Amino acid sequence: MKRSPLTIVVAVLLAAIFGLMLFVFQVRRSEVAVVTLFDKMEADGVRTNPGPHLQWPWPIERVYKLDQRVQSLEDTFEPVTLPDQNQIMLLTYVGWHVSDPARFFPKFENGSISSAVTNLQGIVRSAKDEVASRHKFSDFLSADTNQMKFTQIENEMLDSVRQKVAQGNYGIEINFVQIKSIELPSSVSEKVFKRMTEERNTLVSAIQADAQEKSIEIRSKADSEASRLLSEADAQAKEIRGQGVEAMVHSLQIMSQNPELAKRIMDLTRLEDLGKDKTTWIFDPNSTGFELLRGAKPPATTNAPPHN
Amino acid sequence: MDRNIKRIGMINWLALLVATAGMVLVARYASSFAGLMAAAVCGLGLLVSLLSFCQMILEGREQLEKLDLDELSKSRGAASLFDASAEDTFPARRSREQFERYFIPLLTVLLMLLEAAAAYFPWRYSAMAPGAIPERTLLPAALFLLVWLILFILGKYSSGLARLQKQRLLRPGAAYLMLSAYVCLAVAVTLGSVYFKVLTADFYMGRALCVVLGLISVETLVGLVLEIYRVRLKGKDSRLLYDSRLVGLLGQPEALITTAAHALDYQFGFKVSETWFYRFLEKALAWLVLAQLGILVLSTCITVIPPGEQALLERLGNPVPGRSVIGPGLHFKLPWPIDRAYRYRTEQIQRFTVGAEPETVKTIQWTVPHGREDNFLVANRGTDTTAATNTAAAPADQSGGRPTPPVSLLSISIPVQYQITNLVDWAYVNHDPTNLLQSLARRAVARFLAGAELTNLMSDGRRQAADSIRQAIQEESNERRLGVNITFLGLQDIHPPIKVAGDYEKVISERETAEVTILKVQAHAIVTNALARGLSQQRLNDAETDKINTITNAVARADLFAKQQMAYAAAPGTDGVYEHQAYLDVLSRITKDAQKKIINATGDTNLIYEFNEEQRFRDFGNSITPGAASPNTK
Repeated sequence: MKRSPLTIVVAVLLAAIFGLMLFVFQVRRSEVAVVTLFDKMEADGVRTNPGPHLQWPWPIERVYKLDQRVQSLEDTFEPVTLPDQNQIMLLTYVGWHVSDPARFFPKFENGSISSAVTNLQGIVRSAKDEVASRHKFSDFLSADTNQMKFTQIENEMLDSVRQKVAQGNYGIEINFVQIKSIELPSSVSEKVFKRMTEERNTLVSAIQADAQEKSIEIRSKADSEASRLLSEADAQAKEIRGQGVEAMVHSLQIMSQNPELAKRIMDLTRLEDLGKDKTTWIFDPNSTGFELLRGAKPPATTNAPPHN
Repeated sequence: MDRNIKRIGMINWLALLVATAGMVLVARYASSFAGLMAAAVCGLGLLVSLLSFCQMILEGREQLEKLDLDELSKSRGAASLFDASAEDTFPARRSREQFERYFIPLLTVLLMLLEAAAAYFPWRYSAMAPGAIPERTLLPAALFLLVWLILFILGKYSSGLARLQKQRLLRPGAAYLMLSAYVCLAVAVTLGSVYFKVLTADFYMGRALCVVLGLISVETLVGLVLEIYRVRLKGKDSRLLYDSRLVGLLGQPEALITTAAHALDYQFGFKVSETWFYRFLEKALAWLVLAQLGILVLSTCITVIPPGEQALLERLGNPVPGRSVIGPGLHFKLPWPIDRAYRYRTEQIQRFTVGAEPETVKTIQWTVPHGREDNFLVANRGTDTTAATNTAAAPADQSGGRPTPPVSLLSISIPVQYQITNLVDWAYVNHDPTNLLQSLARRAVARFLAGAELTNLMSDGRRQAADSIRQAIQEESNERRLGVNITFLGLQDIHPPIKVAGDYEKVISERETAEVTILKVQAHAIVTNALARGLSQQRLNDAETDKINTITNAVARADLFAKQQMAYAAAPGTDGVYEHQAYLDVLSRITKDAQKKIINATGDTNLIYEFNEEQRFRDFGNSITPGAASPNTK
């Protein structure tokens, strides 16, 4: 039976592709591959070099690829009681990578990263609680940054996790353990809210008292200043007036040459002063200056025009 | 019933059984939601196929029973022993009838419920874990393709047999075989798409299969309801209750095309299948498909990197020497899967937010919720309230005796912008660099705030705080070889949590009130001092005036007195002319504008003179004008 060239080309192509898929696998730069022969890992079963590698087709050999990059793991928030009876909630994240694929692969369900993460989470939680419970609250949070031991705590956690991982011989290397977030249990947070409110209320009272204090101070200072100014002015006025009295001496000396006349003139001056305001004068015709009225006839008509 | 048909029926359900089990295993291996849904479709097909197979056996037994009866009738003639009307004469027929009357409706209801459950529960499950991505793709896709091939061949054969030999009992199983085959093909394509980074393909395909199962369930329900009202005609075969038309249609999509072609033929009035174009297509279809595949492969030799992006070029998993990082533009490479390009947004500024993510609103107020609040702990420094804060530094919880830690809570929103500067580090050092960078940023913020002062942070210390946090993130990123540059970090929307924000605003308003009080008092002080200064100046001026008057008067009086003394010397004595004149001068001056009354107090006369104020007399002493006075004689 004659086959068309197209059929042959397609068949060859498909066979080539299928053959490549069966016998060749790729390892990326970020990966490492573990090859098992009938599900048994051989001594030379780890392929670390990136590029193409040969394999026997499934089910003879099976290829498992592991990511060799640094994986991030985040644990869960949980309260830890501290030696000073405070409670704190810490969230840590851990950087780790597969350092020995040959050891890692059989320990975690054919090199499953998620399985390793599950196991690591337990270790990290344990180390976190263990280290955190040795430290006071001020080691985590303090207004005095010298008191804070953030880095020290993280290093202690790192050491603890590394130690536990090394004991398990997991083929994992822990790169870092860091505290991502610090929180308080919700009941404690409520107390903090209450305290913050009370602090603000205290501050309000302090501001009010301060304002009152300042008001009183300013008012009394102003009153005092006014009083001082008036007193000084009075003193100066007296002094000025004294200067005037001093100038009167000469005139008094002159007037003392004829005291009788001086007194008479003073009396007249006094009389003149008395008549300055609206006054009704009532005279007796017998008084001095009214002699002409004594025995005089009343005028024939009233309201006659005056004449000189 | 043909023995061959029964065998085919059995092969069908056995194939569906094996396929269902295989698909469950492969789907679990791949962690594929769509794969599991395909297994569910196949499993339901298995039930339908088993049901039709049972019915097939019963009908076969009935046919045998009828043949036996016919044989006996022929050999013994009309025998009353085998009266057709007797109930117990045809047990096989009775079994079949009872099966069709009771079991099939019951089992169809059960099938409908299973279809509904298979649609509803996976839908809900997928809603809870929408981001699930298959862990393995290529091998499962190949296995699904294998299942597709087997089911497709079997399905084609069975459906063809059912159509040609009018085997209605073979039809439901065959339809499900075809549907399962197409579903397997779809899942294989889906897994291939996931391999090519279309990560949501599995999720949407799974949901699409949920919808298909839901529709089949509805169709089954409608069929059950219609069955109640169906007109039953003796001798006419009824359609099987569990035989879904929808499954038949989905299992043979080409039937739709055929129907459409027939419709076109009818519409245009000539046979489309006999045109040159159709014949050309028929001949060249294989070449065309191959050419398309070739173009598809060739298209993978070109990669276009858009502006703002870079790509890592790998050849068989190894970075291509000299071209490991390629920039924007057109690039040639070897076809997939030899060369692969992984694109990243390197030039573009990327951003994330640490802390609260504020909503887009015109005005943000502390006391009004404006987004998801994320509170950070801040240490209490206690400088703002002096004694007040010191006393509140660590009050004991009265209920449990546990001290409240000396901290405050602060809501803050910190947008962080960054740019990938070293793509090789970004892609090859950390598995999830974006997530790691966010963790680093949150840690830097938490750590800074743990030792920060609240009031300073909320006011003029903001800039310095932002710089410190940005620097900390940059240093940590460099240490972790993230290959990024933190281009911007801002501290925004810093305020106490909404729960206590009102108390903080009260303090601010109280400060204003205090300022008002102080300003009022200051105004009062200014007025008081000004008045005092004015008054004192007035007193000084008065004194100065008095002094001047005194001095001036004294001088003038001395001068006057000297002259008066001379005048007095000229006419001395109390009865002297000078004194008299002086007296009259004074009298004249003082009475000039005053009302005057002269009353004879001695009683010599009864005269009273009244002088109006308007009347003038220049010289009271020398010339009293009689007409100016109005004497009243009493």
